[in-house]
Amino acid sequence: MLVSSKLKYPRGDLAVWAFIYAELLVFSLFFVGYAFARMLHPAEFAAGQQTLNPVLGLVNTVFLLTSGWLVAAAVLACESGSRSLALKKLVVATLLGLAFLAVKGYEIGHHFAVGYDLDTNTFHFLYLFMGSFHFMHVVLGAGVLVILAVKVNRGDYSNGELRGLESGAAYWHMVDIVWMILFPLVYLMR
Amino acid sequence: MKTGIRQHQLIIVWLALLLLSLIGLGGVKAGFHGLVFSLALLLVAGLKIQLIADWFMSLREVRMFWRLIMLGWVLVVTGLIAIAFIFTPPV
Amino acid sequence: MKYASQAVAKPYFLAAMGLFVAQILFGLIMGLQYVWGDFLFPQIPFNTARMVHTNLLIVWLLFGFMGAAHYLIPEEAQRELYSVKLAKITFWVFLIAGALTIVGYLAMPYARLAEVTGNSLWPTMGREFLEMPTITKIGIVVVILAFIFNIGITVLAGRKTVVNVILITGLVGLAVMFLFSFYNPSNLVLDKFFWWWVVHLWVEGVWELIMASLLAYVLIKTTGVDREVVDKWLYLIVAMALITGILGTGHHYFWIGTPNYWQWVGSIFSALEPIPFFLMTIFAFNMVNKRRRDHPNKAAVLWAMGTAVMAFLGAGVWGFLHTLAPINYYTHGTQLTAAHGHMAFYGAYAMIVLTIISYAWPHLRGHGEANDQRSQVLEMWSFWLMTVGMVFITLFLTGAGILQIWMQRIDGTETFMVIQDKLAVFYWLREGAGTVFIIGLLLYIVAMFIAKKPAEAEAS
Repeated sequence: MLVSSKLKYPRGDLAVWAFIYAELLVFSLFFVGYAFARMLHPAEFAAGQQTLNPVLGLVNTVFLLTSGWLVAAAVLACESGSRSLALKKLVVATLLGLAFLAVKGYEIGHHFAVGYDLDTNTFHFLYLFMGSFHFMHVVLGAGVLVILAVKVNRGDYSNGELRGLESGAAYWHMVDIVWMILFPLVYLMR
Repeated sequence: MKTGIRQHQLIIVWLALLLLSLIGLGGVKAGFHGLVFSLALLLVAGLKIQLIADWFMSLREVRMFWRLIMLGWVLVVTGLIAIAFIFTPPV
Repeated sequence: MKYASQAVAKPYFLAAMGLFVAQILFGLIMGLQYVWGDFLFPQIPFNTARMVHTNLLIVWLLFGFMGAAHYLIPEEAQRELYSVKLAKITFWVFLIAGALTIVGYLAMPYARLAEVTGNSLWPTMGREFLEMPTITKIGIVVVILAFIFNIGITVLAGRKTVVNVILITGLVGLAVMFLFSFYNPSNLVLDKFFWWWVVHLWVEGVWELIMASLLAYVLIKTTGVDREVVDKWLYLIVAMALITGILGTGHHYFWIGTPNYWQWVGSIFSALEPIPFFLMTIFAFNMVNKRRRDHPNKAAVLWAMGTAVMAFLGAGVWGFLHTLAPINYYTHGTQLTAAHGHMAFYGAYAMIVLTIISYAWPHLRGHGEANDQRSQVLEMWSFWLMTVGMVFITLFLTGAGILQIWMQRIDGTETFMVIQDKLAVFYWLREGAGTVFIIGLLLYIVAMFIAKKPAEAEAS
C-alpha cells in the first residue's frame, strides 16, 4: 500500500453523503436565520436564552459525542473482524442516543409547561422548532443504529463489505455535527 | 481499502471533543460573554466538526475534493453566523 | 411492446391529448378576454372558461399518468395487467364523468349546477381547481381506486422495481391527498389550510414521485444505463422532494391567518424545493451522457431532457423567485404567480406526459422502438414551438407581474383595473405566445397520426 494513497470516494454510499449534505443544508438555513433574527432582535434573544438550561445541553453534548465515538469504534471493530465488540459498542451508542432523547424530551416538555410555545416569539419558535427537528433526526438516527446492530449481529458485514454500515454511521455523525453548532449557537453564544 | 485509523486515535479525538465542549460551558459559567467569546465558541464548534468529519467519518483518508466540501460548508455556515453576530448591536 | 395489455394505454393517451387541446383552447379564450373583456360574454364568462381550463389540465394529466402506468407497469412488473377489462371500464367512466362535468360548467350557471348535482347534501363545490360537483369528486375517487387496485395487484404479483414502487407510491399519495377535497371547513383559515393538502401536496409532493419515476423509466429504456444507477438517483430525488415539499407546504401559509412561524418554516423548506428538480436535470443529462446505446427515438430523448430543464426553470427557479415570505408579501396573487404556475405545470407535468407518450406511441402503433424520421422531426418541431411558446408566455407574464407589483403594491398610487389596462401590451404578447404554443401542440398530434414504421417510410 502506497504511503500517500487516498480514497477516491468517502466511506459509505455516495447517495447517503448527498443526503447528509442536504440535511446539513436545511439545518444551516435555520442556523443562519437564527443568527440574523438575533441580530434584529437582540434583547428578545438574550431574554429567551436565559430561559434555557446549558448544563442539560452539555450533558446531551457528552451523550452524542460519546455515542459518535462508539459508532466510529464499532465500524473499526467490524473491519478487523471483532463482531461482538462492534455489536456492544453499537448498543451502547444507541442507548446514549436514547438518553439524549430523554433529556431533550424533558427539556422541551418543560419549556412548553412553563408557558412558552411556537408562537411566543421568534426566539422561542426557533429554539423549539430547531430542537424538535433535530430531535426527530436523533430518533431516525437511533433507528438506523438499531438496524446496523441487528445486521452486525447477523454477520451481514463480516465479508468486508462495510458500505451499509459506514453509511448508517455517517448519518449518525451528521446528527452529531448539527448539534455541534446548535448547542453553542442557541445556548452559549451571548 | 482498510482504514489507517486506530482505536486509540479515536479515543484521543473523543477526549479532545469532550474537553473542547467543556470550555464552552465553563466560559459561560465563568461569566464570559460578548462578541470575542461568541466568535471563539464558533471557532471551537468548527474545530469539533472537523475532528468528527476527519476521524469519526474517516474523511482524513479521502481525496482533498471531498474534504473541501465539508470544510467549505463549515466555513460558510460559521462565517455567515459570525457576520450576523458582528453586526448585532449590544443589548 | 412485450405485453399485450400495455395496449390499453392507447385510449388514455388519446383522451389526454384531446383534453389537452381543449384546455389550451380555453386558455386562448381567457387570454383574449384579458384584453377584450366581453369576448364570448355571456356564453362563456371568464370564470367559467377558467374552471374549464384548470379542470381540464388536471384531468388530461391524470389520463396521461394513468396511461403511462398502464404502459410501463406490465413491462416493469414483467406480467400482464391484472384486468384489461377493468382498465377499459375505468377509462370510459372517467371520460364520461369528466365530459359531463365540463358540459355542466358550460351549460348552466354554476349555482344551478350545484343545485342539480345535490351539492347541499355534502358541499364541496366553490373552491379553486376543485369546482367539480361532489358527485364528480366521488366518481374520481372510484376511478382512481379501481385504477390503483388494477395496477396494484399487477405489481404485487410481479417484479417490484424501484420505478414501479415509486410510481405506485406517488399514485396512492395522489389518491389519499385528493380525499382532502371532501373536507370543507367553514372556518376560512382552515378551509385554505387543508385546500393546500390537495394542491401543494399533489404538485409539490406526490406528483413529483410520479414524474421522477416516469422520467427514470424513459431514461432506462432509451439510454440502457444500469438500472441500479438509476435507482439510486431516483431514491435521492424522491427523498429530496419529500423533505423539502412536505414542510414546504408552509409557503402557502404565510398570509392566510395561520401563526407567524409559518413564514419561517415555509420559506426555509420551500427555498430548497428546487433541489429535486435540479437533481432531475443532472440525472437526465448524466444518464444520456453515459448512455450505452443511441436509441432511435430521438424525439423521446429530447422530451426527457427538456422536461427536466423546463421543470427546473418553471417549478424550481420561478418558484424560488417568489417563495421567500418577505418577497411573497409583495408578489402574492399577481401575474408573477401565473407565470410560475404556467411554466411549472408545463415543464414538470405536461412535458413528462408528452415524454412518455412520445416514448410509448411507436410501440403502441406497432412501429417498433421509434417512428419514422419525418414524424420525429415534426415532433421535435412541436417540442420547440411549445417550449419556446411557454417560455415567452412566462416571460411576458413575469414582466406584467413585476410592473403590477410595483404599481399596485410598492408605488401604490394606482388601482387594480387601471393597472390591468396599462399591462395590456403584455397580455397581447402573451396571447401571441399562446398561439405559437397551440400550433406546437397540434403539430405533436399530427406527428402522432402520420407516424409510420421507419422501414415503411423509407420504402414509400
